[in-house]
Order: sequence, then structure tokens, then C-alpha cells
Amino acid sequence: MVFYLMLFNMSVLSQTIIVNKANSVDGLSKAELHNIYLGNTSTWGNSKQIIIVDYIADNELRKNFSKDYLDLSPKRVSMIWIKASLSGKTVPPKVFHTEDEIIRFVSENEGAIGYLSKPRELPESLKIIRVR
Amino acid sequence: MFKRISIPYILVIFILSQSFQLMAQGRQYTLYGYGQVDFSASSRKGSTSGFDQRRINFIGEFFPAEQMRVLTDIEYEGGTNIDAGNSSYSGAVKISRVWLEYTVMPELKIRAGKMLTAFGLYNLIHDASASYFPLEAPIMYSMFSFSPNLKPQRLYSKYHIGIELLGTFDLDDTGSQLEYSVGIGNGRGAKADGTDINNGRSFYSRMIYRPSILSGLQIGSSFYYDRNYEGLGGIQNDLEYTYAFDLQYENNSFQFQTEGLITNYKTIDNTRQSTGVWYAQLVYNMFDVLSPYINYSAILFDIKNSEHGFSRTNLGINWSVSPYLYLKSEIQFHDAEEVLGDESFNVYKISAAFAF
Repeated sequence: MVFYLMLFNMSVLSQTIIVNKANSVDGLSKAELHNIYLGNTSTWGNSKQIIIVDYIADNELRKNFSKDYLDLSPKRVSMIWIKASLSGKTVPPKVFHTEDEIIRFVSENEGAIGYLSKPRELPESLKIIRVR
Repeated sequence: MFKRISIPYILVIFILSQSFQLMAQGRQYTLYGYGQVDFSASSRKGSTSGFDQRRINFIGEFFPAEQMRVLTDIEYEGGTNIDAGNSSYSGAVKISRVWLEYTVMPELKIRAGKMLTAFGLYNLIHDASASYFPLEAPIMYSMFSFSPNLKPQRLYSKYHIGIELLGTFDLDDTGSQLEYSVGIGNGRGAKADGTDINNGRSFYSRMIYRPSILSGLQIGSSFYYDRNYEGLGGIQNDLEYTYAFDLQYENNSFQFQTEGLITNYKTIDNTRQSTGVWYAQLVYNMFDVLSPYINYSAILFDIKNSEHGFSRTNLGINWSVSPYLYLKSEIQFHDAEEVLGDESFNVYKISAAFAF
């Protein structure tokens, strides 16, 4: 019983990472995702600018993502983003309220990366990538 | 006078007009920036207290072509009181940055234009206090006067006009990275029209190592070299170089930073002298809202003779009102020698820092 509860919690906490279909990346390691979302990596392997897409700071999904992948709270991550973008290292991240807004933005921008709460039917312009 | 008043407004209108054109053509244009307003009071005799419209910076960024990026940064600093009625005005308006960047690959990008020198933990974010906890960057990034009749200068050049190569290497599959920047440019000293005043070139390099073994740790080094037209020690076109190291560790609860630099230059008695500056800073993050901090800095103007220097201790607290608005309060304990005075003094500052 405890085992199944733990498994349920793990599946609730894991997020579905999405990128534009034109992006050649099929998977990322947890470390690579960590470096992308903290602004340490600013371009994809094909030299296109990475556009980080995220939710507003008090969104529960963002809190879980920050805990799972970044080991920092959303507010701390926001300060790191401010530093990275004002220094010229990265472009400022795009922040939205809902999954639909994120889906729309990522499908329209080749360099964008975002995440959803769970797998769902997506437009053809998007794809889900695995996290190793 | 008309030029001083109209140029910044013309530039802003130009950038905005370009942004509408780019949006119409389907190219992405982003406008963002930061600002700060302060109040300060001091116990130093003869000082006055007051509000300071410290700065506001408008940054525009767009992608004119694949793998290319253009960034512009217009800064209003120290107020914007421009009086059309006479020639006096306060504050400064300047183009702080304008550069074009081309990405060859993640490990190699080429930038050209006017940019902030990649030096230490703070120079790239020098004035953007919304991006760090203390009210100001550490004194290592301040200007120093090496004698009463010499102009205050930094120990490196805050801005760089030239070319920079930069990039990031992924060292392994665990997330370790090595980031670098190297630049060559005009160095310190410019004529009134902004062109180089001497024929000396500047060179700088910065390296940052982020080991995956401890997430949140980074270790860095910086180097700056140029022929300084107004030498730190009063010697014109002096060959000066600065070495610096830095270490930062941060997690959700703490942030620790320490940096040190040594600058070598010639003095008016024709001897070479080294000046050293060092600081350590600790921040504690409480409930993700309040972050008290302490910062201790020390400078020795002549390391060899251990003479003539001062230290400063700052105690402050940063209140994160929202991810884009921070209220800060700080008390600074200054040595008398910092201003070549007779008595030590304190400065009290309150600041609102924002990013948009």
C-alpha cells in the first residue's frame, strides 16, 4: 500500500517536458535541464537561442518543477533569471499562467522549452522529450 | 544643450519604432530593464541626506537573423533633471551597451560593440541590484582615488568597446560546465566623441567553473590588462594589469561569495605598486522573503608595505516583495581613511530595486 502511494506521488511530481517539433533534441539529462532552466546553458546544440518558458512564481506545478530539477525555490530562480538576462547572457524567460498559453508559445517558437503537468494531446508542432 | 536633451528621447523613439517594425515583420523584439530609487543619510560631518533617483535602464533585444542577437541598453543615471532653460542639468543619459552577437556554436559566440567587461561576479550586473541581495555591488567594483589630486578610477574598465569571444563547454554528462569570455578592445580612456584616446589595446579574460559535484558552487577567475591613459598612479598610458578570483556557493537557504583582486601599476616615483581588494559576503534566505546579509571588504593600496588602506562592513536586509521588486535596507560602517578624514562614519540607505 505504501509502495503504491509512493509510486503515485512520484508520477504526480514528474513533469512532461515539451519543445517545438523543429528542435532536434529528443531527450535531456536532468543535469542539462537544470543548466537550461538556471540560465547556465543559453543555446541549443544547433546554436539557436534557448527560450525558457515557465509559470508564474506561485504556480504549484512550477514549485514542484523547481524542487524536482533545480533545488531552488521559484523566487530564487527568478532572481537568477534576472541576473542572467540583465547581464546579457540569456534572453528573459517567458512566464505564463496556464498550460494552454505555454503550449501555444512553445509551438510558435522553435527555441522554446516548457513543461506540463502530465502528457496530453498536443498540436503537431510540439513534441515531448524524455528526461534521463 | 538641445543635443543633450533630444538625443536620449530620439534614441528611445527610434528603438520603439524599430520594435513595431520588427513585430510587423514577425521578428521578436523584447523590451525589459531595471531601476532603483534610494534614500541615504550619513553621520559624516557636513553630509546631507536625501532621495536619489538612482537609475533606470531600458534594454532592447531582437534577433535580426538566425543565430544573431542585438542588445541595446539605455541608462538614465543619477536623475534626469534636464533644464531646457539653461545649460545646467543633473544626471546622465548614456548608451550603456550596444552589441551584436553571433552564435557559431554553444562553445563559441562572437560579440562586437560596447559591452560591460566580463570581470568578477558583479561587473556584468553592476548596476542591476534587483539581481543581487545587497543594496550595492561590493566596493571592489567602486572607483578609488589613489591620491587627492588623482581622478577616481576603477581597478579595471567597467565598459569594453571591442570584440569578445564567449561560450560554455559541457565538461561531462553530470552537468559540470566551463564558461569563458575573452575580449580585446580600446581599454580605459576615451575622447569626448567616445573614440580611443591612445593606441593601447585592452585585453581581458574570465573563466567560470561549475562542478556538478556540488550544485550551486562556482569558482572563477578574471584578468584585465590595458594601457591606462590616466594611470592609477598618475602615470599617463601606464601598463596596468589586474588579476581576480571569485567563489560563490548558493542554495535555497544561503549564499556565500568571496572575491579578491590585485592590481599592478606604476606610481609617480617610477616604482610599480600593487593594490589588493578583498571581500566576503554571507546571505541567509528566510522563508524566501527576507534575506539578511553581512559584507566585509578590505583594501590595501600598497600590499608590499601594508600601508594605507581601509575596511568597510555592511549589514543589511533584502525584502523580496515579489520576484521583480525588492526593498533593501543597509547600514554601512566606514573607516575614516576611506575619505582621508579624521573620524569613521556610518551611512544608512534604503532602496527599492525593480526589474521589468
